[in-house]
Amino acid sequence: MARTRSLTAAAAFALIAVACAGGDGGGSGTEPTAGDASAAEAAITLPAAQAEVVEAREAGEATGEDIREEKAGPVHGGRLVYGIEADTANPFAPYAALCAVSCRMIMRAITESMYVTDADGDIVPYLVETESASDDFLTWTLRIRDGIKFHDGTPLTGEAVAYNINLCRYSQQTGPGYRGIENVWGEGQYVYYETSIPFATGPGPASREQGCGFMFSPTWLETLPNNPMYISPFSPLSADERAAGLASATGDPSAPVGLGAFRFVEYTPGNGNSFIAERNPDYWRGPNGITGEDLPYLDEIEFVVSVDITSRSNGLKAGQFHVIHTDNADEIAKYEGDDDFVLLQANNFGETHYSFMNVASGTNPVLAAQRGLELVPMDPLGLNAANPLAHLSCRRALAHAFDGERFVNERYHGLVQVANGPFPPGSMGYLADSGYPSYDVEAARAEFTQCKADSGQNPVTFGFNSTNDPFNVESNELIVAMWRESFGDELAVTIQPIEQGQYFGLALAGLYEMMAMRSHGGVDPIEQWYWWSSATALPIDPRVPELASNVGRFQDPAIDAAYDVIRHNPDPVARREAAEEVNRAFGRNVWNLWIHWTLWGVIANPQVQNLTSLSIPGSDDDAFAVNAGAHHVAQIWCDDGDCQG
Amino acid sequence: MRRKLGFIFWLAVAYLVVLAVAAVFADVLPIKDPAETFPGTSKQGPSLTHWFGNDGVGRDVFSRVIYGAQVSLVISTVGTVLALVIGGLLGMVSGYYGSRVDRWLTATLNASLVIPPLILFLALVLFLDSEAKRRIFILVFTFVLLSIAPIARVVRAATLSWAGQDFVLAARTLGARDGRVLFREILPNVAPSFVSYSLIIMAGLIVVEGSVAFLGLSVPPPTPTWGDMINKGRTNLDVAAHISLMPAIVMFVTVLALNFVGDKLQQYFEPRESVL
Repeated sequence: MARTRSLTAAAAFALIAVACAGGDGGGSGTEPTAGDASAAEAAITLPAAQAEVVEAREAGEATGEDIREEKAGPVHGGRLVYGIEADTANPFAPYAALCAVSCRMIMRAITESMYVTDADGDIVPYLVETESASDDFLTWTLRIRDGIKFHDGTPLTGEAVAYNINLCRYSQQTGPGYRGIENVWGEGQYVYYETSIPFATGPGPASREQGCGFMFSPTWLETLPNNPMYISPFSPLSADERAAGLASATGDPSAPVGLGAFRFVEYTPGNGNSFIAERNPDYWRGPNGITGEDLPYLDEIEFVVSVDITSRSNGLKAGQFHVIHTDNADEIAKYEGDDDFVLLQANNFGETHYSFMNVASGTNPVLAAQRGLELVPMDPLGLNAANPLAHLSCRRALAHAFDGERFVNERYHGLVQVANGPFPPGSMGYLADSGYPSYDVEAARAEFTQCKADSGQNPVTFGFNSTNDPFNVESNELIVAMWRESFGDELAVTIQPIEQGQYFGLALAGLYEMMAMRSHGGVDPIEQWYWWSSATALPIDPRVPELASNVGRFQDPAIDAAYDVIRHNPDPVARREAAEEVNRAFGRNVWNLWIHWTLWGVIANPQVQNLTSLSIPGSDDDAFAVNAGAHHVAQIWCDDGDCQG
Repeated sequence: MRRKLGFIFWLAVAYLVVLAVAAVFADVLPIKDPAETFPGTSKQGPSLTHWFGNDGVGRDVFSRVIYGAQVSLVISTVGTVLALVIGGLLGMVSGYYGSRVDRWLTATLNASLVIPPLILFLALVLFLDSEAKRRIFILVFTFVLLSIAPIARVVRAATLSWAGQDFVLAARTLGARDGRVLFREILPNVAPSFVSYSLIIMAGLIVVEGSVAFLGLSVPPPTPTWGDMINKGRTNLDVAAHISLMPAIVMFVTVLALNFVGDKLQQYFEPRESVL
């Protein structure tokens, strides 16, 4: 017997999210028509709002909600220029894009997702109208809202949704996250899932507002030369069908056709270049849409890539940008108390700054079982054999020698919190004491003595990859300096600044020893399975390159067992306990060196209104304001239709 | 009668000597470890303890400027010397033999002058080796490539003027081989001009290294370089300008001194030629 329920938090599709990187706002505004559901309630003045934000941040509960007092209601018109931190690698097909925060901002403008996260952090249906599951959770049925169209006029049907999901299933990049799902198909407005394992948490976590959750026109997707149906070894098509499809695939993956509030106009890749989108007159939440709302308010939105935070910040001050985002708390601190700009801060359900280490060695029995092989050697060429970080003693020594409090005070004015695990306060799995090694120089030196014996090295030597952003490089220099203070010349670390475009590729291929990273934002720990499972710890072998989402290539039976519960057990208590066990396993084995939990800032010209509060049709709650740096844009307007002021 | 070099010349020479000595003997000078961080001092301005202040993670800027000179001076000196040898040889051959050899060499050297230095460097990093540890060799290699043509042109011009002198003709008439004429008769006379010009080349290479370091593509951190220090300090220009300003001033004065000394030496040797 089937039953219907509303998803709260929820299955194991982790999505690749990479850590990573003016116009005048003129225009005369027009008053929107009645039925304006996004008009925020009058709240408080700007300085008071900022004081409240500071209070929330200090409690680890800052959501980035825009609680300013409105000068006037929503106004149509205006062109908003948004300074984003990085370009997108392999844009914008969701099965291929390395979609970090900047990419997700663009995605949120041009399309929407099946589910969204609400203000409480629950994942709720959005393009999906209802959902139901069989009692054994082996079958799920979704009903998709009727009357929604993609920008090319293609209707959003069950078939269209199933096509999107199947491309992500067949993609080599995103496919591993769909393991256990045997069949997905659509009929009319319905989408059906059949799974081989209980799918207790449903499709929500993999289908919310990131990566493969975003829907694109199947008409467009069918034209793309990188379509997994044509090129993936997992494609169900015959060789002839693939060849025929590929022969006619002349579409442009960087010219996306979504169903969002804005339609694609132009994209030029690279730093300083931009993505431009214009108002979609047929938006499903607009005057011609199915909800009777009046979104979006802006005529046009432009996302300009400005990798360097100093340039981005100066661009905001100079009027080149109307809004910027940043995870650089040093820069955020400069805007606190500055009444010339709006500063929204978010650290709830945020990401973690950390360094991961390549521990590839031995064999992977989980992978061997999956592949029907006797053995799967993790490092057949010995490329990681000399990496001392494969030894627990070395990882523990480095963790003990890191003075987190000093780090966050010197680099971030104490605005961020030192991390002791992957789950920040307020998230499922968070523990005040995860067992992760605390700052203790004596313990560090004792572990280091063992490290030298285990690795056979003196000095203990490894490379530490950093993005080439000068602030990040300098931050990592401070970390290395702290290690040097404990271990002196017996530790030799080379920081290697690497250009952002090449950065994550090295991690996926396993060609590194240690890398700095920002990742693991999310509202449910299930979203991280993809990063930490033994099944996604693939061998390092440039002869047969495999891109591993478990970039550290660690295998932890305790984490695997905990994720069996998190993925398949509907009991929230059991899931929370399992998430806490994941946290403890990281503490015991130090697979990653945790640095701090991320604080995101969205900084804007005060002309820009209602920055982050998008209502959810049929719900009393708004969508979650700023999640891991990204927020919705359909609801934004500018006073007098002029974003510059 | 020779011109005097003047007080400023000797002041510039003294500055360069002091800087070079400090860079070479940095390890034994009573200055702070350039990699050591001093807790609680990040972004602090100049003080009696830290003369040039502290950088964004609390390191001593003065010490880093001194150690940064090692990279700048080593790369620019090695690059210039290698370029002198190769460019000087090409210039002398081109100027001495003339004819087809001269045309080919001149065309090739002129063509190489149009390559923008930074583009060339980025291309070499991309195609040769992007690993930071080996980047210093790519830097030197690029600098040599960049410097060959300007040096060769100067040497060629000087060789042309000396090759027609009576004592050169006399040596050839007496049966001296080309190699002897080039290295015994011509080289001693063109050397002053290209050695003095090489100082100007050196100054240019320091600026290029600074630009490359500013892009984060010079030697790997935490080894300090002036360009890298300026780059990292720019995120704090509004609150701690000294982090960028101090290395920038030292770089400016060094380049100015090299240019001044080079110019003066060129002027100094010119009258001697005119006497002939």
